[in-house]
Amino acid sequence: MALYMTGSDPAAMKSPSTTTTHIDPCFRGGRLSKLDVGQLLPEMEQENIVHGMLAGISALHSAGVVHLDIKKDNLLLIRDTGLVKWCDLGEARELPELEDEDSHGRSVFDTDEFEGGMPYVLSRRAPEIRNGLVSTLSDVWAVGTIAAELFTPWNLLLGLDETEQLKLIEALPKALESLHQAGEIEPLKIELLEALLCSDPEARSSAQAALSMPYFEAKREREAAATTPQRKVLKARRTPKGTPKLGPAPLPA
Amino acid sequence: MSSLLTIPEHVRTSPAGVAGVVLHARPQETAKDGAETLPGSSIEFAVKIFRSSQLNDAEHEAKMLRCGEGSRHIVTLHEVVYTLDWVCLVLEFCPNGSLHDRL
Repeated sequence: MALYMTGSDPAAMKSPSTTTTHIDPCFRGGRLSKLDVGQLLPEMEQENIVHGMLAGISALHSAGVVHLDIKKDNLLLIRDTGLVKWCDLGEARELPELEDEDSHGRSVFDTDEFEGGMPYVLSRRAPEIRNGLVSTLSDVWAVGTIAAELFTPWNLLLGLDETEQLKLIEALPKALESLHQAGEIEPLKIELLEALLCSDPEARSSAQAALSMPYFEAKREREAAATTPQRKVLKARRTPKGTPKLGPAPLPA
Repeated sequence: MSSLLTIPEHVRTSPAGVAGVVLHARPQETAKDGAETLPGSSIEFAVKIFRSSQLNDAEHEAKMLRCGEGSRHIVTLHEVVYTLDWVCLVLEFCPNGSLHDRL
């Protein structure tokens, strides 16, 4: 295959530590607009992005690979509907043999194996990594931090340094609870965030399990309806207004 | 070899430590027609470039990408191109940038 390459951003080339994606500047026009501070993406786009992130790492995990560099720069958008793809698998690792496993039979790494320091950028780093353990669930935490950014206009987990980051992680369950109480986020989103951002990796949801959580129910129904149009009509008649659970909902008992 | 890959000057002369720079690419035949009509080209790729001294890094990433093959949520690796000085991962081109550009 003969290829002609157009120039990348020369400024980016000067920094040797840069390994992020730089596409030819002439394509910037094709990029989607950046949101203003405090603004959120449309509901359906949020849903597609979170679903795509989980589906992607779930596929990697079942192939025995941990991504270990889950961040927004590494999630490429295909079109404005929110189809997303993970790129940059340079930090990815194959899962070790099963003799290294936690009490749930999941493979774990010892962080001593990582020469370049702890995996992940600070704000995406799961708490157990600080205790020397890395597993597929560390990817899940990182996806959770991105989901939190998509769902809320607040920086729940973007610490400026390690100390602040640890405080934010510790305060997270309460922060989510108070957002829930105040009706600021839909309960199904809170439920998903709590499953992804559980400090204890053994109690955290796997990517695969998270995909079947109620938050994605509306998406599943939409997709099922799209593939079987006849059923859609019947269903629509039976349930006159299948409005998804939006807005403040009653607190759980 | 030089006809197989046209590596831009600023990449060729950049410090040896630079790895994994991603460039936009399309087949050479279409490029000859006129570089100005680039966005209209239907076959486009992203190419992640490694120096041959970073062969292990390139091959590791290629291996990891192949593990994600079959998922539409992992970027597709089309081909690995080896030259004397470079190893290039020819990847699916995603024109809309990253989530970081959006949020």
